[in-house]
Amino acid sequence: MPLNSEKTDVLVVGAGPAGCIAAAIVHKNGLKVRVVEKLKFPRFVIGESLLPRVMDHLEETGLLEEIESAGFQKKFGAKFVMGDYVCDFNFADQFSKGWTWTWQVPRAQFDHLLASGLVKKGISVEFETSLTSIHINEDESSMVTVENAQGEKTTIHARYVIDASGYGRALPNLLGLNKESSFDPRKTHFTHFRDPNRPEGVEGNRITAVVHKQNVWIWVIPFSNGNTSVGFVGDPSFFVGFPEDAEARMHAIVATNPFLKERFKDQEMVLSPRTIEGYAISSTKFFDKGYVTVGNATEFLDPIFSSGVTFAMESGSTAAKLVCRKLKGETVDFQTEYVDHMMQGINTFRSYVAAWYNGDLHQIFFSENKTEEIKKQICSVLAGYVWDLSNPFVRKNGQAIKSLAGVLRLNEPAIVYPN
Amino acid sequence: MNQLSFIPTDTAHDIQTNMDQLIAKLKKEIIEHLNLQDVKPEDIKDNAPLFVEGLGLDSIDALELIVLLQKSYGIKLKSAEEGKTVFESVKSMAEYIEANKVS
Repeated sequence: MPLNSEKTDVLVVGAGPAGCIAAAIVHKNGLKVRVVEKLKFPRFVIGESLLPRVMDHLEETGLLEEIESAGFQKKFGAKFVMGDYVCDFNFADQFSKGWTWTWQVPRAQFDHLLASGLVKKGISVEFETSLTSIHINEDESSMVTVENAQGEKTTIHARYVIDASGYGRALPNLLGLNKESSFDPRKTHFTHFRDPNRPEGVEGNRITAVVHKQNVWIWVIPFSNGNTSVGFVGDPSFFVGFPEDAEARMHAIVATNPFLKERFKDQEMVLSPRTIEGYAISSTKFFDKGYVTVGNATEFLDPIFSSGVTFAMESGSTAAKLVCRKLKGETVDFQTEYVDHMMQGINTFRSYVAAWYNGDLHQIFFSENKTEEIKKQICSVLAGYVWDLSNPFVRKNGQAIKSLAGVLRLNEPAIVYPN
Repeated sequence: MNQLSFIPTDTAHDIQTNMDQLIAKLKKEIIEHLNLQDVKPEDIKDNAPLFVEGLGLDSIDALELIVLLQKSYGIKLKSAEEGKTVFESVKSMAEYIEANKVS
Protein backbone atom coordinates (compact mmCIF):
# COMPACT_ATOMS: atom_id res chain seq x y z
CA MET A 1 0.00 0.00 0.00
CA PRO A 2 1.48 3.41 -0.98
CA LEU A 3 2.42 5.67 1.93
CA ASN A 4 0.01 8.46 0.96
CA SER A 5 -3.04 6.19 0.85
CA GLU A 6 -6.03 6.88 3.07
CA LYS A 7 -8.39 4.27 4.43
CA THR A 8 -12.16 4.02 4.50
CA ASP A 9 -14.65 1.22 4.88
CA VAL A 10 -16.84 2.35 1.98
CA LEU A 11 -16.08 4.77 -0.84
CA VAL A 12 -19.19 6.22 -2.49
CA VAL A 13 -18.67 7.66 -5.97
CA GLY A 14 -21.22 10.42 -6.66
CA ALA A 15 -23.22 12.66 -4.32
CA GLY A 16 -26.61 12.55 -6.06
CA PRO A 17 -29.66 10.95 -4.37
CA ALA A 18 -28.37 7.36 -4.76
CA GLY A 19 -24.96 8.20 -3.30
CA CYS A 20 -26.34 10.34 -0.48
CA ILE A 21 -28.80 7.68 0.67
CA ALA A 22 -26.11 4.97 0.40
CA ALA A 23 -23.60 7.05 2.39
CA ALA A 24 -26.16 7.88 5.08
CA ILE A 25 -27.03 4.18 5.48
CA VAL A 26 -23.36 3.17 5.81
CA HIS A 27 -22.80 5.95 8.35
CA LYS A 28 -25.89 4.87 10.28
CA ASN A 29 -24.42 1.36 10.48
CA GLY A 30 -21.34 2.70 12.21
CA LEU A 31 -18.91 2.20 9.32
CA LYS A 32 -16.57 4.81 7.88
CA VAL A 33 -17.78 6.27 4.59
CA ARG A 34 -16.27 8.83 2.21
CA VAL A 35 -18.02 10.44 -0.77
CA VAL A 36 -16.32 11.83 -3.87
CA GLU A 37 -18.31 13.89 -6.39
CA LYS A 38 -16.98 14.86 -9.82
CA LEU A 39 -18.92 18.13 -10.06
CA LYS A 40 -19.27 21.27 -7.97
CA PHE A 41 -22.70 21.55 -6.26
CA PRO A 42 -25.24 22.99 -6.79
CA ARG A 43 -25.37 21.65 -10.35
CA PHE A 44 -28.27 21.16 -12.76
CA VAL A 45 -29.67 17.69 -13.37
CA ILE A 46 -32.97 16.47 -14.83
CA GLY A 47 -35.43 14.29 -12.88
CA GLU A 48 -37.44 16.88 -10.95
CA SER A 49 -40.49 14.94 -9.92
CA LEU A 50 -40.24 12.58 -6.95
CA LEU A 51 -42.55 9.71 -5.96
CA PRO A 52 -43.98 9.09 -2.46
CA ARG A 53 -41.76 6.01 -2.04
CA VAL A 54 -38.80 8.43 -1.87
CA MET A 55 -40.11 9.75 1.46
CA ASP A 56 -39.50 6.36 3.12
CA HIS A 57 -35.81 6.61 2.23
CA LEU A 58 -35.48 10.24 3.31
CA GLU A 59 -37.13 9.38 6.61
CA GLU A 60 -35.02 6.30 7.26
CA THR A 61 -31.77 8.20 6.71
CA GLY A 62 -32.81 11.24 8.73
CA LEU A 63 -32.55 13.50 5.68
CA LEU A 64 -36.27 14.34 5.54
CA GLU A 65 -36.08 17.42 7.79
CA GLU A 66 -33.20 18.79 5.76
CA ILE A 67 -35.47 18.80 2.70
CA GLU A 68 -38.65 19.84 4.50
CA SER A 69 -37.11 23.18 5.50
CA ALA A 70 -36.63 24.15 1.83
CA GLY A 71 -40.37 24.59 1.20
CA PHE A 72 -40.48 22.70 -2.10
CA GLN A 73 -43.75 22.41 -4.00
CA LYS A 74 -45.72 19.50 -2.55
CA LYS A 75 -47.00 16.84 -4.93
CA PHE A 76 -50.16 14.92 -3.98
CA GLY A 77 -50.84 12.98 -7.14
CA ALA A 78 -50.32 12.53 -10.85
CA LYS A 79 -52.37 14.15 -13.60
CA PHE A 80 -52.53 13.12 -17.25
CA VAL A 81 -54.17 15.30 -19.88
CA MET A 82 -54.97 14.76 -23.56
CA GLY A 83 -57.17 17.35 -25.25
CA ASP A 84 -60.39 17.32 -23.22
CA TYR A 85 -59.57 14.06 -21.45
CA VAL A 86 -58.21 14.35 -17.91
CA CYS A 87 -57.04 11.53 -15.65
CA ASP A 88 -56.34 12.33 -12.03
CA PHE A 89 -54.57 10.08 -9.54
CA ASN A 90 -54.52 11.10 -5.90
CA PHE A 91 -51.84 9.34 -3.83
CA ALA A 92 -54.13 9.42 -0.77
CA ASP A 93 -56.30 6.88 -2.61
CA GLN A 94 -53.54 4.37 -3.20
CA PHE A 95 -53.89 0.61 -2.60
CA SER A 96 -50.60 0.07 -0.73
CA LYS A 97 -49.79 1.47 2.68
CA GLY A 98 -47.35 4.31 2.22
CA TRP A 99 -46.70 8.01 1.85
CA THR A 100 -49.45 9.99 0.14
CA TRP A 101 -47.36 12.93 -1.02
CA THR A 102 -43.90 14.05 -2.03
CA TRP A 103 -42.24 17.05 -3.74
CA GLN A 104 -41.47 18.62 -7.12
CA VAL A 105 -37.92 19.90 -6.88
CA PRO A 106 -35.32 21.82 -8.84
CA ARG A 107 -32.65 19.13 -8.50
CA ALA A 108 -29.72 21.52 -8.18
CA GLN A 109 -31.11 22.71 -4.84
CA PHE A 110 -32.54 19.35 -3.72
CA ASP A 111 -29.33 17.42 -4.33
CA HIS A 112 -27.25 20.15 -2.72
CA LEU A 113 -29.41 19.94 0.41
CA LEU A 114 -29.00 16.15 0.56
CA ALA A 115 -25.20 16.43 0.30
CA SER A 116 -25.18 19.20 2.94
CA GLY A 117 -27.20 16.87 5.15
CA LEU A 118 -24.40 14.28 4.89
CA VAL A 119 -21.77 16.88 5.83
CA LYS A 120 -23.86 17.81 8.88
CA LYS A 121 -23.78 14.16 9.95
CA GLY A 122 -19.98 14.34 9.82
CA ILE A 123 -19.57 12.45 6.54
CA SER A 124 -16.71 13.56 4.28
CA VAL A 125 -17.99 14.79 0.89
CA GLU A 126 -15.34 15.97 -1.59
CA PHE A 127 -16.63 17.93 -4.59
CA GLU A 128 -14.87 18.36 -7.95
CA THR A 129 -13.09 15.11 -7.26
CA SER A 130 -13.21 12.32 -9.82
CA LEU A 131 -12.15 8.74 -9.94
CA THR A 132 -9.19 8.15 -12.26
CA SER A 133 -8.34 4.50 -11.64
CA ILE A 134 -9.38 1.48 -9.62
CA HIS A 135 -7.59 -1.71 -8.77
CA ILE A 136 -9.69 -4.36 -7.06
CA ASN A 137 -7.68 -6.67 -4.79
CA GLU A 138 -8.18 -10.38 -4.13
CA ASP A 139 -9.81 -9.63 -0.76
CA GLU A 140 -12.39 -7.39 -2.57
CA SER A 141 -10.92 -4.17 -1.19
CA SER A 142 -9.83 -1.56 -3.75
CA MET A 143 -7.05 0.92 -4.36
CA VAL A 144 -8.84 3.88 -5.89
CA THR A 145 -7.11 6.98 -7.22
CA VAL A 146 -9.09 10.22 -7.17
CA GLU A 147 -8.12 13.63 -8.49
CA ASN A 148 -9.42 17.00 -7.28
CA ALA A 149 -9.87 20.33 -9.14
CA GLN A 150 -6.30 21.35 -8.29
CA GLY A 151 -5.01 18.20 -9.96
CA GLU A 152 -3.96 16.65 -6.64
CA LYS A 153 -4.18 12.89 -6.62
CA THR A 154 -5.03 10.77 -3.59
CA THR A 155 -5.10 7.01 -3.32
CA ILE A 156 -7.90 5.65 -1.20
CA HIS A 157 -7.93 2.14 0.19
CA ALA A 158 -11.61 1.20 0.40
CA ARG A 159 -12.95 -2.08 1.71
CA TYR A 160 -15.90 -1.66 -0.68
CA VAL A 161 -16.92 0.74 -3.45
CA ILE A 162 -20.48 1.89 -4.14
CA ASP A 163 -20.71 3.53 -7.56
CA ALA A 164 -23.49 6.12 -7.62
CA SER A 165 -21.94 8.16 -10.43
CA GLY A 166 -25.09 8.34 -12.57
CA TYR A 167 -24.55 9.83 -16.03
CA GLY A 168 -20.84 10.05 -15.14
CA ARG A 169 -20.77 6.24 -15.28
CA ALA A 170 -17.45 6.08 -13.43
CA LEU A 171 -17.10 2.33 -12.90
CA PRO A 172 -19.11 1.26 -15.99
CA ASN A 173 -16.63 3.31 -18.09
CA LEU A 174 -13.49 2.19 -16.25
CA LEU A 175 -14.54 -1.47 -16.17
CA GLY A 176 -16.34 -1.60 -19.55
CA LEU A 177 -19.83 -2.40 -18.25
CA ASN A 178 -21.90 -0.18 -20.60
CA LYS A 179 -24.72 -1.75 -22.55
CA GLU A 180 -27.49 -0.29 -24.73
CA SER A 181 -30.94 -0.32 -23.20
CA SER A 182 -33.70 -2.10 -25.09
CA PHE A 183 -35.96 0.98 -25.29
CA ASP A 184 -36.40 2.94 -28.50
CA PRO A 185 -34.14 5.99 -28.34
CA ARG A 186 -36.22 9.05 -27.48
CA LYS A 187 -35.30 12.66 -27.54
CA THR A 188 -36.22 15.30 -25.01
CA HIS A 189 -36.04 19.10 -25.20
CA PHE A 190 -36.66 20.95 -21.94
CA THR A 191 -36.26 24.21 -20.05
CA HIS A 192 -37.36 26.14 -16.96
CA PHE A 193 -39.83 28.95 -17.72
CA ARG A 194 -40.82 31.89 -15.58
CA ASP A 195 -44.49 31.18 -14.90
CA PRO A 196 -46.40 34.40 -14.01
CA ASN A 197 -49.54 33.04 -15.74
CA ARG A 198 -49.69 29.97 -13.50
CA PRO A 199 -53.37 29.30 -12.63
CA GLU A 200 -54.27 30.25 -9.04
CA GLY A 201 -54.66 27.59 -6.38
CA VAL A 202 -53.92 23.90 -6.22
CA GLU A 203 -54.44 23.11 -9.92
CA GLY A 204 -51.77 25.53 -11.10
CA ASN A 205 -49.17 23.88 -8.90
CA ARG A 206 -49.89 20.35 -10.06
CA ILE A 207 -47.46 18.28 -12.04
CA THR A 208 -49.06 17.31 -15.34
CA ALA A 209 -48.15 14.98 -18.21
CA VAL A 210 -49.77 16.17 -21.42
CA VAL A 211 -50.18 13.88 -24.42
CA HIS A 212 -49.14 16.14 -27.31
CA LYS A 213 -49.37 13.57 -30.09
CA GLN A 214 -49.50 9.77 -30.16
CA ASN A 215 -45.75 9.47 -29.55
CA VAL A 216 -44.95 12.80 -27.96
CA TRP A 217 -45.75 13.97 -24.45
CA ILE A 218 -44.90 17.01 -22.33
CA TRP A 219 -44.02 17.34 -18.66
CA VAL A 220 -45.15 20.44 -16.77
CA ILE A 221 -43.58 20.62 -13.31
CA PRO A 222 -44.30 23.80 -11.32
CA PHE A 223 -41.74 24.70 -8.63
CA SER A 224 -42.34 26.71 -5.47
CA ASN A 225 -39.83 29.33 -6.69
CA GLY A 226 -42.29 30.50 -9.36
CA ASN A 227 -40.58 28.75 -12.25
CA THR A 228 -41.92 25.74 -14.10
CA SER A 229 -40.03 22.94 -15.80
CA VAL A 230 -41.40 22.09 -19.26
CA GLY A 231 -40.06 19.23 -21.38
CA PHE A 232 -41.07 17.58 -24.65
CA VAL A 233 -40.29 13.88 -25.00
CA GLY A 234 -40.74 11.86 -28.15
CA ASP A 235 -39.41 10.18 -31.22
CA PRO A 236 -36.44 12.15 -32.64
CA SER A 237 -38.39 12.67 -35.89
CA PHE A 238 -40.88 14.91 -34.06
CA PHE A 239 -38.24 17.61 -33.55
CA VAL A 240 -37.26 17.78 -37.23
CA GLY A 241 -38.41 21.01 -38.88
CA PHE A 242 -38.40 23.16 -35.73
CA PRO A 243 -35.77 25.95 -35.47
CA GLU A 244 -32.20 24.90 -34.61
CA ASP A 245 -31.67 27.60 -31.97
CA ALA A 246 -32.55 26.10 -28.58
CA GLU A 247 -34.77 28.94 -27.32
CA ALA A 248 -36.46 29.54 -30.68
CA ARG A 249 -37.11 25.82 -30.90
CA MET A 250 -38.73 25.72 -27.44
CA HIS A 251 -40.95 28.74 -28.21
CA ALA A 252 -41.97 27.22 -31.54
CA ILE A 253 -42.89 23.84 -30.04
CA VAL A 254 -44.78 25.36 -27.10
CA ALA A 255 -46.85 27.44 -29.57
CA THR A 256 -48.16 24.23 -31.13
CA ASN A 257 -49.78 22.95 -27.91
CA PRO A 258 -53.15 24.37 -26.83
CA PHE A 259 -52.55 23.43 -23.16
CA LEU A 260 -49.22 25.31 -22.95
CA LYS A 261 -49.57 28.08 -25.52
CA GLU A 262 -51.28 30.75 -23.42
CA ARG A 263 -49.36 30.04 -20.22
CA PHE A 264 -45.81 29.91 -21.59
CA LYS A 265 -45.96 31.88 -24.85
CA ASP A 266 -43.07 34.41 -24.91
CA GLN A 267 -42.15 33.66 -21.28
CA GLU A 268 -38.52 34.03 -20.30
CA MET A 269 -36.48 30.86 -19.88
CA VAL A 270 -34.34 30.85 -16.75
CA LEU A 271 -32.52 27.74 -17.92
CA SER A 272 -31.07 27.63 -21.42
CA PRO A 273 -33.07 24.80 -23.11
CA ARG A 274 -31.28 21.49 -23.31
CA THR A 275 -31.65 18.43 -25.46
CA ILE A 276 -30.95 14.87 -24.41
CA GLU A 277 -30.99 12.05 -26.91
CA GLY A 278 -30.81 8.29 -26.44
CA TYR A 279 -30.68 8.47 -22.67
CA ALA A 280 -31.68 4.91 -21.97
CA ILE A 281 -28.50 3.07 -21.07
CA SER A 282 -27.85 -0.06 -19.04
CA SER A 283 -25.00 -2.11 -17.59
CA THR A 284 -23.82 -5.66 -18.12
CA LYS A 285 -23.20 -6.08 -14.38
CA PHE A 286 -24.63 -4.35 -11.30
CA PHE A 287 -22.09 -5.82 -8.89
CA ASP A 288 -18.97 -7.92 -8.81
CA LYS A 289 -16.08 -8.50 -6.43
CA GLY A 290 -15.65 -5.38 -4.31
CA TYR A 291 -18.19 -3.06 -5.88
CA VAL A 292 -21.87 -2.47 -6.52
CA THR A 293 -23.43 0.11 -8.87
CA VAL A 294 -26.56 2.02 -7.83
CA GLY A 295 -28.95 4.65 -9.27
CA ASN A 296 -28.50 5.78 -12.86
CA ALA A 297 -25.06 4.17 -12.85
CA THR A 298 -27.06 0.97 -13.36
CA GLU A 299 -29.89 1.93 -15.66
CA PHE A 300 -32.02 4.91 -16.62
CA LEU A 301 -35.65 4.48 -17.58
CA ASP A 302 -37.91 6.82 -19.51
CA PRO A 303 -38.96 9.94 -17.54
CA ILE A 304 -42.75 9.48 -18.01
CA PHE A 305 -43.45 8.08 -14.53
CA SER A 306 -40.76 9.99 -12.61
CA SER A 307 -39.21 6.76 -11.39
CA GLY A 308 -35.56 7.90 -11.55
CA VAL A 309 -34.98 9.32 -8.06
CA THR A 310 -37.08 6.52 -6.54
CA PHE A 311 -34.86 3.83 -8.09
CA ALA A 312 -31.77 5.85 -7.19
CA MET A 313 -32.70 5.89 -3.50
CA GLU A 314 -34.12 2.36 -3.38
CA SER A 315 -30.93 0.97 -4.95
CA GLY A 316 -28.64 3.13 -2.81
CA SER A 317 -30.39 2.03 0.36
CA THR A 318 -30.68 -1.67 -0.53
CA ALA A 319 -27.09 -2.00 -1.77
CA ALA A 320 -25.59 -0.05 1.15
CA LYS A 321 -27.33 -2.28 3.69
CA LEU A 322 -25.90 -5.37 2.00
CA VAL A 323 -22.41 -3.85 1.86
CA CYS A 324 -22.60 -3.14 5.61
CA ARG A 325 -23.69 -6.70 6.37
CA LYS A 326 -20.90 -8.04 4.20
CA LEU A 327 -18.24 -5.85 5.86
CA LYS A 328 -19.50 -7.04 9.24
CA GLY A 329 -18.75 -10.61 8.19
CA GLU A 330 -22.10 -11.87 6.95
CA THR A 331 -22.51 -13.77 3.71
CA VAL A 332 -24.76 -11.78 1.39
CA ASP A 333 -26.17 -12.60 -2.01
CA PHE A 334 -26.14 -9.44 -4.15
CA GLN A 335 -27.96 -11.21 -6.97
CA THR A 336 -31.10 -12.15 -5.07
CA GLU A 337 -31.08 -9.47 -2.38
CA TYR A 338 -30.08 -6.53 -4.59
CA VAL A 339 -30.37 -7.15 -8.36
CA ASP A 340 -33.53 -9.27 -8.23
CA HIS A 341 -35.15 -6.79 -5.84
CA MET A 342 -34.33 -3.86 -8.12
CA MET A 343 -35.40 -5.71 -11.27
CA GLN A 344 -38.79 -6.43 -9.70
CA GLY A 345 -39.37 -2.66 -9.44
CA ILE A 346 -37.63 -1.70 -12.68
CA ASN A 347 -39.50 -4.33 -14.71
CA THR A 348 -42.81 -3.14 -13.27
CA PHE A 349 -42.12 0.44 -14.39
CA ARG A 350 -40.66 -0.80 -17.66
CA SER A 351 -43.95 -2.51 -18.53
CA TYR A 352 -45.85 0.71 -17.71
CA VAL A 353 -43.46 2.76 -19.86
CA ALA A 354 -43.99 0.32 -22.74
CA ALA A 355 -47.77 0.53 -22.22
CA TRP A 356 -47.59 4.33 -22.24
CA TYR A 357 -45.91 4.37 -25.64
CA ASN A 358 -48.03 1.58 -27.20
CA GLY A 359 -51.22 3.39 -26.17
CA ASP A 360 -52.61 0.83 -23.67
CA LEU A 361 -52.18 3.25 -20.78
CA HIS A 362 -53.79 6.12 -22.68
CA GLN A 363 -56.80 3.85 -23.22
CA ILE A 364 -56.88 3.03 -19.51
CA PHE A 365 -56.13 6.50 -18.09
CA PHE A 366 -58.68 8.29 -20.28
CA SER A 367 -61.46 5.72 -19.84
CA GLU A 368 -64.26 6.29 -17.34
CA ASN A 369 -64.99 2.60 -17.04
CA LYS A 370 -62.34 1.75 -14.47
CA THR A 371 -63.35 0.46 -11.06
CA GLU A 372 -62.16 2.32 -7.98
CA GLU A 373 -60.17 -0.73 -6.89
CA ILE A 374 -58.25 -0.90 -10.16
CA LYS A 375 -57.55 2.83 -10.02
CA LYS A 376 -56.14 2.47 -6.49
CA GLN A 377 -53.89 -0.36 -7.57
CA ILE A 378 -52.51 1.58 -10.55
CA CYS A 379 -52.15 4.62 -8.27
CA SER A 380 -49.78 2.67 -6.01
CA VAL A 381 -47.56 1.87 -8.98
CA LEU A 382 -47.47 5.58 -9.84
CA ALA A 383 -46.57 6.33 -6.20
CA GLY A 384 -43.52 4.07 -6.54
CA TYR A 385 -44.77 1.21 -4.35
CA VAL A 386 -43.67 -1.36 -6.93
CA TRP A 387 -42.50 -3.94 -4.40
CA ASP A 388 -45.95 -4.65 -2.93
CA LEU A 389 -46.74 -8.02 -4.47
CA SER A 390 -50.22 -8.06 -2.96
CA ASN A 391 -51.05 -5.48 -5.66
CA PRO A 392 -52.04 -7.40 -8.84
CA PHE A 393 -50.99 -4.38 -10.93
CA VAL A 394 -47.49 -4.89 -9.52
CA ARG A 395 -47.42 -8.69 -9.37
CA LYS A 396 -48.72 -9.15 -12.92
CA ASN A 397 -47.66 -5.72 -14.18
CA GLY A 398 -47.44 -6.18 -17.96
CA GLN A 399 -50.29 -8.65 -18.23
CA ALA A 400 -52.58 -6.64 -15.96
CA ILE A 401 -52.27 -3.51 -18.10
CA LYS A 402 -52.70 -5.47 -21.33
CA SER A 403 -55.78 -7.33 -20.04
CA LEU A 404 -57.40 -4.17 -18.70
CA ALA A 405 -56.76 -2.25 -21.92
CA GLY A 406 -58.18 -5.25 -23.82
CA VAL A 407 -61.41 -5.21 -21.81
CA LEU A 408 -61.83 -1.45 -22.13
CA ARG A 409 -61.32 -1.64 -25.90
CA LEU A 410 -64.19 -4.16 -26.15
CA ASN A 411 -66.61 -1.54 -24.91
CA GLU A 412 -65.15 1.81 -25.94
CA PRO A 413 -64.01 3.48 -29.09
CA ALA A 414 -60.24 3.68 -29.49
CA ILE A 415 -58.54 6.79 -28.13
CA VAL A 416 -58.32 9.61 -30.67
CA TYR A 417 -54.99 11.42 -30.53
CA PRO A 418 -54.54 15.16 -31.12
CA ASN A 419 -53.10 16.00 -34.55
CA MET B 1 -85.40 -33.03 -12.87
CA ASN B 2 -88.71 -31.88 -11.39
CA GLN B 3 -88.76 -28.46 -13.01
CA LEU B 4 -87.94 -29.99 -16.37
CA SER B 5 -90.79 -32.56 -16.23
CA PHE B 6 -92.88 -30.62 -18.77
CA ILE B 7 -90.14 -31.01 -21.37
CA PRO B 8 -90.03 -34.29 -23.31
CA THR B 9 -87.30 -36.43 -21.78
CA ASP B 10 -85.06 -36.65 -24.86
CA THR B 11 -84.93 -32.79 -25.18
CA ALA B 12 -83.98 -32.41 -21.52
CA HIS B 13 -81.27 -34.95 -22.11
CA ASP B 14 -79.96 -32.95 -25.13
CA ILE B 15 -79.83 -29.74 -23.06
CA GLN B 16 -77.88 -31.54 -20.39
CA THR B 17 -75.45 -32.96 -22.96
CA ASN B 18 -74.96 -29.53 -24.55
CA MET B 19 -74.27 -28.04 -21.15
CA ASP B 20 -71.74 -30.76 -20.34
CA GLN B 21 -69.99 -30.17 -23.63
CA LEU B 22 -69.92 -26.42 -23.08
CA ILE B 23 -68.50 -26.88 -19.57
CA ALA B 24 -65.79 -29.20 -20.89
CA LYS B 25 -64.95 -26.73 -23.66
CA LEU B 26 -64.86 -23.80 -21.22
CA LYS B 27 -62.43 -25.60 -18.90
CA LYS B 28 -60.02 -26.07 -21.78
CA GLU B 29 -60.41 -22.47 -22.92
CA ILE B 30 -59.84 -21.09 -19.41
CA ILE B 31 -56.65 -23.10 -18.99
CA GLU B 32 -55.41 -22.03 -22.41
CA HIS B 33 -56.45 -18.36 -22.21
CA LEU B 34 -55.13 -17.80 -18.69
CA ASN B 35 -52.04 -19.89 -19.40
CA LEU B 36 -52.63 -21.96 -16.25
CA GLN B 37 -49.68 -24.27 -16.04
CA ASP B 38 -50.04 -27.61 -14.24
CA VAL B 39 -53.86 -27.38 -14.30
CA LYS B 40 -55.83 -30.07 -16.15
CA PRO B 41 -59.52 -29.80 -17.13
CA GLU B 42 -60.42 -32.54 -14.62
CA ASP B 43 -58.84 -30.42 -11.83
CA ILE B 44 -61.58 -27.82 -12.29
CA LYS B 45 -64.86 -28.90 -10.65
CA ASP B 46 -68.04 -27.66 -12.32
CA ASN B 47 -69.33 -25.93 -9.18
CA ALA B 48 -66.08 -25.00 -7.46
CA PRO B 49 -65.28 -21.27 -7.08
CA LEU B 50 -62.90 -19.98 -9.74
CA PHE B 51 -61.45 -17.29 -7.51
CA VAL B 52 -59.33 -17.31 -4.38
CA GLU B 53 -60.20 -20.47 -2.42
CA GLY B 54 -61.14 -22.45 -5.55
CA LEU B 55 -58.95 -22.29 -8.64
CA GLY B 56 -57.14 -19.29 -7.14
CA LEU B 57 -57.79 -16.82 -9.96
CA ASP B 58 -57.39 -13.08 -9.28
CA SER B 59 -58.82 -9.80 -10.52
CA ILE B 60 -56.49 -9.73 -13.53
CA ASP B 61 -57.64 -13.22 -14.55
CA ALA B 62 -61.21 -11.92 -14.31
CA LEU B 63 -60.32 -9.32 -16.94
CA GLU B 64 -58.98 -12.09 -19.16
CA LEU B 65 -62.23 -14.06 -18.71
CA ILE B 66 -64.15 -11.02 -19.94
CA VAL B 67 -61.95 -10.98 -23.06
CA LEU B 68 -62.52 -14.74 -23.45
CA LEU B 69 -66.32 -14.37 -23.33
CA GLN B 70 -66.16 -11.66 -25.99
CA LYS B 71 -63.77 -13.42 -28.33
CA SER B 72 -65.19 -16.94 -28.15
CA TYR B 73 -68.90 -16.28 -27.57
CA GLY B 74 -69.50 -12.68 -28.64
CA ILE B 75 -70.73 -11.80 -25.15
CA LYS B 76 -69.93 -8.37 -23.74
CA LEU B 77 -69.51 -7.80 -20.03
CA LYS B 78 -68.89 -4.20 -19.10
CA SER B 79 -66.73 -4.68 -16.05
CA ALA B 80 -65.20 -7.11 -13.62
CA GLU B 81 -68.00 -6.13 -11.21
CA GLU B 82 -70.68 -7.45 -13.53
CA GLY B 83 -68.61 -10.58 -13.96
CA LYS B 84 -68.68 -11.46 -10.26
CA THR B 85 -71.77 -13.64 -10.43
CA VAL B 86 -71.04 -14.87 -13.92
CA PHE B 87 -67.55 -16.07 -12.96
CA GLU B 88 -68.55 -17.86 -9.74
CA SER B 89 -67.85 -21.23 -11.29
CA VAL B 90 -67.43 -22.87 -14.68
CA LYS B 91 -71.08 -23.95 -14.41
CA SER B 92 -72.31 -20.41 -13.84
CA MET B 93 -70.23 -19.23 -16.78
CA ALA B 94 -71.72 -21.93 -19.01
CA GLU B 95 -75.26 -21.05 -17.93
CA TYR B 96 -74.63 -17.38 -18.65
CA ILE B 97 -73.25 -18.21 -22.09
CA GLU B 98 -76.28 -20.40 -22.87
CA ALA B 99 -78.65 -17.63 -21.84
CA ASN B 100 -76.82 -14.81 -23.68
CA LYS B 101 -75.05 -16.37 -26.61
CA VAL B 102 -75.20 -14.66 -29.97
CA SER B 103 -76.25 -17.31 -32.45
